[in-house]
Amino acid sequence: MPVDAPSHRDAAKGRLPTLKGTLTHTHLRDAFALDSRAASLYGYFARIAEIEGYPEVATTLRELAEQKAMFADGHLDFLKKAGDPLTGRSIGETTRNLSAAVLIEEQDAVDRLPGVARTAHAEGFPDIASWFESVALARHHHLARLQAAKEDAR
Amino acid sequence: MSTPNSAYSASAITVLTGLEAVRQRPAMYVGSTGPSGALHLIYEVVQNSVDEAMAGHCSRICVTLQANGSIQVADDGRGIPVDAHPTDGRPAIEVVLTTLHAGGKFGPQGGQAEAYGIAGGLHGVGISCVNALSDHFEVEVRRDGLTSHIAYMRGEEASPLTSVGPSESTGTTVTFRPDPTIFDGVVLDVRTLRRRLQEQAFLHPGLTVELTDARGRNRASEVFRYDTGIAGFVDHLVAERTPLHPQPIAISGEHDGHQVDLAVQWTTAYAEETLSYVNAIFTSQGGSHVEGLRAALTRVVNARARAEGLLHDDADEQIAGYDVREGMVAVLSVKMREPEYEGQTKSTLTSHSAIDAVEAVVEQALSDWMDAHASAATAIVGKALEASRARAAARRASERARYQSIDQVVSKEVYKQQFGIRSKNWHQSAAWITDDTILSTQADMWDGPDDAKVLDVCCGSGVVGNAFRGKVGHITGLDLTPEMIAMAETRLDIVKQGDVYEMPFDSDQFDLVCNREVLHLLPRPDIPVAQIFRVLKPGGTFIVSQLVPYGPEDAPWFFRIVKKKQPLFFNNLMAEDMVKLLEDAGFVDIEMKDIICWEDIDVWIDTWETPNLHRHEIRQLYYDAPAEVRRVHPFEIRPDGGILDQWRWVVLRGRKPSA
Repeated sequence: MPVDAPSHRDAAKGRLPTLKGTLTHTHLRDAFALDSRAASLYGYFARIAEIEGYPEVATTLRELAEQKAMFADGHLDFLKKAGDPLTGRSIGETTRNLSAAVLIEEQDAVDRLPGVARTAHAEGFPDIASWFESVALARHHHLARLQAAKEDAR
Repeated sequence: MSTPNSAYSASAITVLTGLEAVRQRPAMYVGSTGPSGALHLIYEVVQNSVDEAMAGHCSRICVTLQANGSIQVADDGRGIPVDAHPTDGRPAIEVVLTTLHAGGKFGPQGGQAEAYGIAGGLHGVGISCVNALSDHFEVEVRRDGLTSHIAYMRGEEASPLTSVGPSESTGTTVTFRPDPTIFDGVVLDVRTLRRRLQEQAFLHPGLTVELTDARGRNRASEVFRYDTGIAGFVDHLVAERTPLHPQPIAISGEHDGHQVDLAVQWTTAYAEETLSYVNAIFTSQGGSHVEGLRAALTRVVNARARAEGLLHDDADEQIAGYDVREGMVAVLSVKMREPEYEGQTKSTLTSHSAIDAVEAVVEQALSDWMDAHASAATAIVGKALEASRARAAARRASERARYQSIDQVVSKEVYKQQFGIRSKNWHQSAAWITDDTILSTQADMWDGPDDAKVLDVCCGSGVVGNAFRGKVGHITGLDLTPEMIAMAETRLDIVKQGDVYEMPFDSDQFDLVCNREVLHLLPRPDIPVAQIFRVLKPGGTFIVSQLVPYGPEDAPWFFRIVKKKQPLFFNNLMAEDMVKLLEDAGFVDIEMKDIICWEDIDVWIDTWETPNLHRHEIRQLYYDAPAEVRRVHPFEIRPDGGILDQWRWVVLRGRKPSA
C-alpha cells in the first residue's frame, strides 16, 4: 500500500489524516532526534569555546542550541498526538507523560545499560563501563522519583 | 586619573529615585544580611573615597573597626558637597545620603556637572543604602575651610547639617554601625576586608590605605601603600610560585577611550590566576575585558611559537588558549566610561568595546616585549607547548592503559610516568593526602598486636603506613617508581619496588595490609584485592580507604570530575562496591566508616596530571551542578569563584578468615 494512501482516503472523506504510521511521522521522529541531539552537542561545544577564549563563537553556539531545543519542542507538539518518540506510548497530559517517562527509565536502567556496561568491559573499556554503571545507578534513582511523582499526580 | 570636568559641587549631584524599601529588602541592595552584606556596606563607603582617589583628589583612606561595632572610613578627598543642591534645594550631602542612585557619578556624560569621568560605584545604590541599613550613621565633611556634621539613625535624620568649626584640611569621615536588627550576629570577615583594601592600594599607586582593628584589647594597624602598581600586585600573588621570567610584564596603553593596564607573569605552576578590574571594581567572573586578554595572549604566543619554528606547520599545529595560560598570574585593570555588566553584582563585564581595546593594547605591547626579551619569550612559549603536549600525553596515557587492559595486563610504564612526576610534590597535590582524620581513622581501626608486620600497598609517600607507627612492629612499603620509593623510605622501614597485580611477597606474610585511594585507578581492582588477601596471614586485617560519591544522584557527575582530574580513573567505586570487592575476595567481618573532608579544589586540580582544559571544565561542572547533585553533595562556591568541596571518604576493614 502506498504510504500516502491514508491521507488521500481521509482527505476524500473531508477528515484530517492521522499521523501515526506515515512517512511524515518518521520524519518528525528523526527531526526530534536530530535537533535534541544538536541542542546538547552545541551546548557542549559552547562551553569548550568559552574556555578556549572564543566568546563570540560560544554565544553563537549557545544561541543555536537554544533554538534547536525549541525546534525539538515544536516536533513534539505534533508528535505527541502519535505518541512518545522513544517508547511509542501515548503522551500529552502529565499522568500519561509520567507513564512514558517511567517506561523510558525502566528500559534504560534495567534492560539497556547493564548490557552495554558488560560489552564495554569485554571490549577493554573499563572506564566507559564504569561510566555506564554510574549512569544506570542514577537512572534507577530517577525511576524511583518518577514512580513517586506518578503516585502524586494520581 | 584626573578628569577635565572636575567641578564637584552641589550641582554635580543628580537625583534619580527615593530611598524606600532598602530596609524592607536589604538583601536586594547589598546582596545579603550576612557577613558579605556587612562587608558590602564598608566597600560602598570605601569606594566613594577610592573614586576620589581615581579623580586625583585623595591620597589616604583609613578604615577603622571600632570597639562598639562601628566602622569608620576617613579620607582626605574634597569632601562631600554641603551647599544647596540645584534642583532639590536641600544641602547636597543630604541628597547623597538619603537618595538611592544619587551621587557625582550619575551626572550627564561630558556635561558641565560631571564630577567623575570614571567611577566604580558598587551596585549603583550608593552610600544612602549604608545609611538606611545602619542604626547609627554620621558624616563629618571638611571642605571650604569648614567642618560640617550630620547624623542619621536607620536612615532618619538624627542631627541636622551643622557647621561645627573651621577646618584646615579637606576630606570626608563616615562612621556607621550596621543595624544589628538587620545584620544579626554577623561577624566581620576581616581577612576578606584586608584583601580588598590591599587590592585597592595595589590598583592605585601612591594611595595609602590603612586598616585598624580597634575591637580587641590590642589595637592592630596595617598600612598598604605601593608605588609598584599592578606589577607589584602580580609580584605579591606569585609569592611562593617559581616564576619563568624574573619580572612581571607590565603593559599600559590606551585604546578608544579605554585605559588598559596589565601585569602578567608566567610561573612553573599549573593553575592560572587572573584577577580583573573595571574602574577598580573586581569582576570576579571576568567578562569582555578578560576575553580580549585571552584572545591577545593566544595570538601572540602562537605567532611567537610559529616564528621560532616550534610548531608543525604542515599539521597546522596550534597552542590552545588554556595551554597558553597554564601557570599564568595576571592582573588586568581597565578604566572606561559607562561599563555594562551582567546583573547587579557587577561580576561580569559585558561591554563589547572592552574586547577590542584590551586585545589591541595587549597584542601590540606583548609582542614588542617578547621581541625585546627573547629568552623569557622562549621560556613562556616553551611552557605553553609543554602544557599542550602534556594534555596530549595524558590522553594517550589513559588510552594506552585501556588498550593494555584487554588482556588484563596494565602497562606499568603508564603508571610510572603518571605518578613518578607527581612524586616531586606529592604532599601539595591534595590536602587529604595528609588529612589527620582519614589517617587517624585508618589507624584507629587497627585492633591487632603492637608487633604486627605491616604492608602499605602503593605507599606513595608512606604517610598511610606511617600513621600506624607506634601501634605496629615493622612496616614494609610497595610502590612502582624509584622516586616514590626514595620518598617512602623516609617514613617506612623497608620499601620494595613492584606492582599490585603481582606482589613480590610470599603468601601469608603480613598481619595488616593498608592502602588508600588506589583501587579506582585500576581497570581490574579485584586482582590487587585478591593479592592482598593472599599475602595476609590467616586472621590478618586489610584496612583501605577510598574517595566515593555520596549516592546515585552524584555518581555520574563525580565520575566526570574525577576522570577529568585523573585520566587513569577507571572505576567509579561506590561505598557498596568497596564492600563487595572485599567480600568477593573472601574477606569477612567487614566494617565501614564514613568521613567527610573539606578541600579547596584548586589544591586538588593544580597538578601535572590535570590538563588546563580539564581544570576549567571541572570548575564549570561545579558551577553548573544539577539540583540533584547539589542536594546530596555539599560544596561551596566562594564569591571569588573558588570552590570548596566536601569529599566523602569511606574506610573499610576486613579480615582474612583464620585457617
